[in-house]
Order: sequence, then C-alpha cells, then structure tokens
Amino acid sequence: MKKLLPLIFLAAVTAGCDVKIPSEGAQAGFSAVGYAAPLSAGEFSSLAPEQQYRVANKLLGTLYRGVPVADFFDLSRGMKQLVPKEGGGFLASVEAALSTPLDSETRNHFDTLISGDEAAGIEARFSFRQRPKELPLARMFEYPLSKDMFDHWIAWHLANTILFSPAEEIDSANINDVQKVYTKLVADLRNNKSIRQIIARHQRSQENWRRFRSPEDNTREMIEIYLGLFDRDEDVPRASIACKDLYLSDEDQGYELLSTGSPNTEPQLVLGHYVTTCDDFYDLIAGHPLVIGRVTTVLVEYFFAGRSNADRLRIVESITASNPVTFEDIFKGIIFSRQYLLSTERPRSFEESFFGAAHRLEWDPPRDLFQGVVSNRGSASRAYMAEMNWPTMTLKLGRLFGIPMDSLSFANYHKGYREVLLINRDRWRRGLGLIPAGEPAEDATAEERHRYEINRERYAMVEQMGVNDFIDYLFLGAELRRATGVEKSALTTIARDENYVRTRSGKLVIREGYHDDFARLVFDYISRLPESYYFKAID
Amino acid sequence: MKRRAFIKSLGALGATLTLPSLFSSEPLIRRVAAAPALDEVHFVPPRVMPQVINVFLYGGPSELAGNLTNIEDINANSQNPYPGSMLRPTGDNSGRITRNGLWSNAGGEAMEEMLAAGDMSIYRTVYRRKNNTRAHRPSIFSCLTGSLDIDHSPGMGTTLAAVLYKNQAALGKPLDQMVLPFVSFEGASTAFISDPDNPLPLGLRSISLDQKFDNPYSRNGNQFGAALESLVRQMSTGADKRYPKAFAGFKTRRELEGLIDGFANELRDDSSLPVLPEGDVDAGDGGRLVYPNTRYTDRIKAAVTLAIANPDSLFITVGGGLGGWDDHNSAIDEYTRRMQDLMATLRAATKHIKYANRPGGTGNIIINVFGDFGRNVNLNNSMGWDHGNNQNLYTFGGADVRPPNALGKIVGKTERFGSSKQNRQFTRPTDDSYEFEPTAIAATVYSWFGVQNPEVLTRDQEFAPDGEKAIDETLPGEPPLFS
Repeated sequence: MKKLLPLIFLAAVTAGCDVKIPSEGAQAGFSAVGYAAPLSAGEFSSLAPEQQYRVANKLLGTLYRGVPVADFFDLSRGMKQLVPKEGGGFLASVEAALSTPLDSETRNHFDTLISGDEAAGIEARFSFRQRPKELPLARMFEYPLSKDMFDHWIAWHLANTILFSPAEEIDSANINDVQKVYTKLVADLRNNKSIRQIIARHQRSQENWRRFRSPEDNTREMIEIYLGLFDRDEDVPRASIACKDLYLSDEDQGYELLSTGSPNTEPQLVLGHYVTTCDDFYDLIAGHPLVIGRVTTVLVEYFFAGRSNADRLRIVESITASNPVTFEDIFKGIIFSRQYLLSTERPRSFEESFFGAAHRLEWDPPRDLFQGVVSNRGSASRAYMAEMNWPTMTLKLGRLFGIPMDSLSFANYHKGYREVLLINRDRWRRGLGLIPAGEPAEDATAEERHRYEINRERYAMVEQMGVNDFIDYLFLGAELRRATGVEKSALTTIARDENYVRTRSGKLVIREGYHDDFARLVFDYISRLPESYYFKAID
Repeated sequence: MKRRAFIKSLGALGATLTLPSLFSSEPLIRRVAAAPALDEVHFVPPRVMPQVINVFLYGGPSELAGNLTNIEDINANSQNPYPGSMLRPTGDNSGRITRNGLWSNAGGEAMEEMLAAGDMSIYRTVYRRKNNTRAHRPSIFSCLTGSLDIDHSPGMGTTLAAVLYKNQAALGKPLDQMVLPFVSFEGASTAFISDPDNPLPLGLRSISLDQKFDNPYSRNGNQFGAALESLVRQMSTGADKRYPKAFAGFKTRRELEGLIDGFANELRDDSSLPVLPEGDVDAGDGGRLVYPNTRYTDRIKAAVTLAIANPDSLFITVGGGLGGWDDHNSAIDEYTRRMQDLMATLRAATKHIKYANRPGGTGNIIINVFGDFGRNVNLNNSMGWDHGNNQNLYTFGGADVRPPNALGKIVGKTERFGSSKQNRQFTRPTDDSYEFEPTAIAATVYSWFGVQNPEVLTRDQEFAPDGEKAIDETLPGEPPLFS
C-alpha cells in the first residue's frame, strides 16, 4: 500500500462513537507561527514604496479588491518620489477591517445600492440573471472591506472548491442548491462557526446528498473530501450501512433527501471507530484529526500553486500547528503570511485579475457585469468565466486546483480581461482622472459628490504630468510597476504617430483630450504581457 | 474554404507553427511526473500513422448498455428490480436485449448496426485487478496516464508525444512541422499532464480547442497590434521561464488566430459531410450525413472534423464534466438516454470517417470510448448504481491500423458476484474469458503508433512490474446471444 494510513488515528480505536465536534469560534488575531508567519509591519515598511504597493495589491487582489495609486500614495511630490500614505500600518488596517462586521444600516445601504429599492424609488446598480451565483460577486465588489465582505469571499472560495461545491452541473442539483450551500456558508461564517461544525452541518444537508446521491457514494466522498483518504474500499461499505436508511428520491419526487425510517442498528467499524447511524458517521468525519490538515491542504494548493511541494507541505504544517479553528483562521493565515505576500508567484484567477484591476483603476462597472461574468449574458459576456474553464459553483468536484492556463482557457481569459476592462476606456477614464467629470446634479447623492471631488483632484494632478510620469501612473495602476525606459520610448513613439502628444516649450506633453486614448494604448500593451496574469513574488 | 484548400493551407502553415499549451491538472500535493522508460522503447514506425480520438466518460459509466448477458441473475439478486423489458429479447413484447446482449434503447441498436458493419468492437472485460480502486481520482488518473503510478506519471498523450519526438527521425514527416498534433476538446486534460522533468517542445504539447471552433484567439480593437506585439516580443526576454503558462498561451494565440477560422468553416460547412449509401438511417437531404442533435454531437463532430481535415492531429481527447456518468441515483432513465445519444452520435461519427473523401483514406482514425470504471449492478435504494470495476471498451474504426478481423465483434464473458440483495454486487470476467487492465488501453494506443513493447511505458514498480501488453485484437468474438 503506497499511502500509509495515519497510524496515530488508527491507534485510537474505540468501541462506539464518541467523537466530539469542537465548537470554538474564530480566534481573535489568529496568525500562523513558524514558516507561515505573517508579514510584519516592520518588514512591510522596509520595502521600497513600489514594492509596498505591489504587496498591498497582492493582498487586496487576492480578495478581489485593489487600492488606486492615488489613494495609496501621496502624489503631491509627483510620480518620481512616491510616498505611501499609510506606511507600516497598512496590513494591520486591512486585517482589522476584515475582522469588523458592518453595522446593519451600512450593510442595508450597500444591499440597496446593489439591488435597488423599488418602493423607495432607488434604482438597482446591478441587474441579475442567476442571482444566487451573481449577487455574491456584487457584494464583494461593493461592500467596504469588512468581515461581511470577507465572509462572502471565503464562502465564494469554499463553494468553488471540492469542499463545498453545490455541483450545479449534475442532474440532481440546481440553482437552489447553489443558493442554499452559499447562504448557509455565509451564515455559518458570520456566526463564527468552527470548521468542524460547518462540515458536520453540511454533510447532513440535502444539498450534499444531491451531490453525492447514495449511501455508498456519499460516505466514500466524505472520507475522500474531508479526510483526504482515498482507496478506503474496506471502510466504504460499512459506512454506507450506517447511512442505509437515507436515500434521494427521483426526479419526479424532486430529489428529496428521505429516510426509510429504518436506521441501521448494528455497529460498523469505520476508520477504526464504531459507528451505528449516519449521524455517527458524519460526526466521525467532522471530528476526525485529519480534517484540519486536509482543508488547509486544499486551500494551500490553490494559493501557493507556484511553490514547490516541499514548501506547500511546510506551509500546511505551519498553519495546522497553529491550531486554526475557523476557516477565517486558515484564510488569514494564508493571505497575510510572509510566504504568500513576498515569496509566492502564481497565475491569478480571473476574479483576482479583473476585480483587482477594476478597483485599482476605479473602473465603473456596467449594470449587467455579473451576468456577463457568471451567466454569459449582456455587455460583459466576453468575460464569461465558464469559457475560461473556471465556472461558478458548478463542477461536481469544484474548480481545478490550478488556474486553467491551457490555450483555450487562457485565450478567453485574456480576451475578457482586455476587452471588457482594460481597453474599455469609457469605464475608467473618469476614475483615473483622465477626463473631467460633469458637475453633480442638484439631487446628487453624497457618493456622487464624493466621486466628483476625487475626479477633480485627480484630473488636476494628471494634467500636470509629463509623458513619462503619466505612463508610470498608468503602469503602476494596471501592472503594479513602473514602465521601463524601452517601454516608455516605444509607447511614446506610437502616441506621437497618433498625435496624442505634442511638444510644448521644448517638452513633450499629452494633448488635451487625448489622455484616455494614450491610456488605452498603454493598457492594451499591458494586456499582452504574460506577467500581467501573475501575482509576483517580491523577494 | 473547401477541404482540400483548407488542408493545403494547413500544410503551408505547418513549417512555422509551434502550438503550445501547458495543462495544469495538478492534484493535491504530489510529486509530478517521472519520465516513463523512453530509452527502453522499441519503436518501429507504423505502416499507417494512426489518429486516435480518446472519448473519456467521466464518472464511470455502467457496462450494461453493452452487456446484458447476466441481467437475469443480476435482477434476481438486486435489492430493487430492473424493468421487466430488460429481461426479454427485443423480439419478445418490446424486450430490450438485442441479439448480441446489448441494451437496445441504451444505444444497443446503434451498436448492433456498427458491429454488423464492421465499424466497431466491444471489449466487455476491462477489469482492474492490480491496485484495485473504486475512487474517481486514482481511476481517472490511471486510465488517462496509462500507469498505476499516478502521482509520478505524465498523461498518455504526453507520453505518446515524447515517444514520437524521441523517434522522430524514423517518421515520415518531422514532428515539429505537424499542425495541432495533440488536441484537447475538454480544456485541461489528465491525458496531457506534462512531465516537468522532460519538457516537450512547445509544438508537441497539447492545445485545447472549443468544440464550435469559436475564435477567442482573435482580438477586437487591435489598431496598434503590430507595434505592440513588437514591443511585447522585445520585453518578453525570460518570460517563457518566469511566466511559462501565459507566455505559451500568447504564443498559441498568435498562431491560432487565423487557423481556427478555417476549422470553423469546415465544421459549419455541412456540404463537406459525406453522402451515405441509399437508405442509410443517418442520411438527410440529398443522402448527406446528418449528425443527431445530442449533447455529445458538438464535441465528437468537432474532433472527427479536425481528424479528417488535419491528418497531423494524432491524438485528440474529448470529455466532459465528472457528473456525467456517475449514476448513483435514478440511473436507468438518465443512463438510457445518455447512452442512446452517445451511440447515435458515434454511429454518425463512424460514417463521417468511413465515407469521408480524403486522399489516403480515413481508415487510420480510431475512436476509443471508456471511463473511470464500471459500476456495480445492484440497483440501490436511490435506484442507482454505485462505483464498480468491470467496464467495456467501445472502439471504432481504424481498420488500416488494426490487425485483420479486429472489428465487428464482442470479446469477453462476465458473471455476477456478490451477496444477494446487498449493494456490493458486480460483474467480473469468467475464468475462461479474456480480460485486460484499464491501463492496457494506453498500451494499445502506444502500440498502434509503433511501440513494440508498451509494457515499458505502463509498468509500475510496485503493482505492475511487468507493465501491460496491448490488447489482443486478434481474438475471436463471442457468439450472439440469440440467433
């Protein structure tokens, strides 16, 4: 046998099921110790300003967010001397924000902004076609950094992995299962339920049975998915006897999880423990010593995809040795770690690229954005993630462990990123301050007035920039680095040929009204760079 | 573009094309890819270069569509009864058992037609005795890597590419001048897991295509394209090492931008489909082949169209979502419909290949169809079948590649075993039956391409130290169940 059984666990054979499911909630200020230790404020401060910006946006990009150049830096001294506004406190402020729930009034405000309120005459900012799959992205896009936003992001990840995929693709599941799986995960996270509690709850759900649809299928997959134990053909039949009273009705009866009313009464030896009923079995899985290591492994596989197997094992060991209790603990352990922020280089998912850049460029999303990304409808359908082999909460065993970068998937990824976002100048030119916004109307909202003021400041700043500073401003926002001399020269030559620039008092300047044309050229170039699709390492 | 002109255009492009793709079906933490024993391969160039379309039925299809020979015993011992019609021959009151013991309305009639026409064979005893497993992952990986050492083996397509690359001097056409030699219609495929220790030239790695040959490789709003591409090339020094996947993706994009439209035209142009013999059930207006409208048609038709139009496409994979054939519940109706659709599509595909008018013929094109594993034969309380072992290999076409009498037969005999009225009941080969391991299918593919000793490519130190031989295609078939 190639894979040795976990001896420590098999040694603990007991008569009768006495597995306890710990119920502690999230640990305030959890951080991993050892190899996966967090990046400290001092280490962050010691990085060059541009590196700080890259690290900040690696963290935020991972969360499908981003911070614009003009917000991160004090640009009053120009692009040549970048000064971070927040300094070493940036990471701590993000961590604090992710731990702080929105008050109900704020949450309602953003939900109303997203979905509208017909009675109050408030128009929805977004339209939806498959709401259960699209609304989560809208919330992550619009909510301020907060525990609420973080909970949605965690639930999104979990529901797209093998751990909790609703498997909408299979006959017995449908969009309602997507909604149930996702909303229950969010509710559990909001209530700081432990990993083991969430797994224990999910296993018993009809949604889980609609994915794994017979006692043998269900028990086999629980052992594989939550414990990482494959080839347990000895245990599966016994586990399925413990669950023999449960079955899924057929299509005509709505694929309901039903019981025959005749539960098993003979104790069955499964994974070294005796279980009698399906409840016993599910508790055995949820309380098993391998659970935390297994779920950590699944998540580390994704976030540290560019690292060696030995490194990933060390990261898993480091996080699990720090005794995480909640999914929040594990996710924070991963994304705030020095190893992730400084030393990991990997392809970005489409969400990480697209929404990260959208926030950095203050991109104004179309109303049907999420229909396009998730459901292949409307003006943003070129960014349909399923065509990138990256469908939403669809696959029976969740998304692949690595970002699909085969030729077809990547072609769709590039095309969606480039055409829907990077060269779509109508949606970023105001946010970046490349054209002046019109005066707000009398009845403009506070947010609209705030945006107007931001635009005024940025427009005034951009107007003063020389060509090289302007290119750097665009490069930092979209590519998280300055342009090289060769790039500046080549792009300026194209811009000169296109009459985007002219010489004034012996200096090359951008012609009034052509900043957005020039920016589109730069962003088109950036979209063609292989590096644009990766989170980079710093060290 | 008509086919001949199109094929010609491919040939012209061939000299400059390199078409990369890097797949990343990386499983949970594992060491990847020890090279199979390429140095030990005894390679003799095949008389006819095969083209293989590998259709993998993810989830593990039941064998019953192709094997109702034990159904009476199965039904007598099943926890839940099978429909009565499945116990009767087709001539008896709408029974479902065909002359050769196939399930008539689960593709059985189509299979009978293809068997009679000498277009297919069925091997009923693909049986895993070595390192037996009923879990999806190890089953899929062993089937599609052709090895039981799943954590260290590249995909069978990658191994095949490596063999041909190593022996390219013996081939008629330089491999690096071939257009799209390794293609996936399923995105990232386990069959193309790469071998990081022995990377292939970009042109020999697989590329993935859309079944409609949609062209995401084109760019809208591209007025600065040439100048920007020039700058990108200048600035991409080292990008192939640091950002290899995106680098390869862009390189492929550039080269496929124009090519894909040619395939799309070929696919859309129904006048390129062959005219069938008079009275053929798959003939439409003017006697021309019409594919049925099924969920499998797009991918299989695209793969066949590509294979016919482009003889350089040597190994093509077609698959789907894992949920497809994992029939744990409500199995009979769904499975019946799926198999009916699949076999109707494959019947059209075999005719597409057989009657295509291609210089040199199309007798080198083979379609193989199999899955993770078979299923058990007890109908469980969710009226489904759980994971099993014994499965069928359905193999089509390729008369010019196979030995004489390899087509038009059913090979292998089975029996039911397992406790009555318990879930764990399966079929297995009878003591006097021929049988082979699932990894023998990869061995057979290698042998078609000229590997005389595929055992060296399929062996596993622990479980299969002698490796697997190719399937013996010279064996006689079983007699019909009914005369």
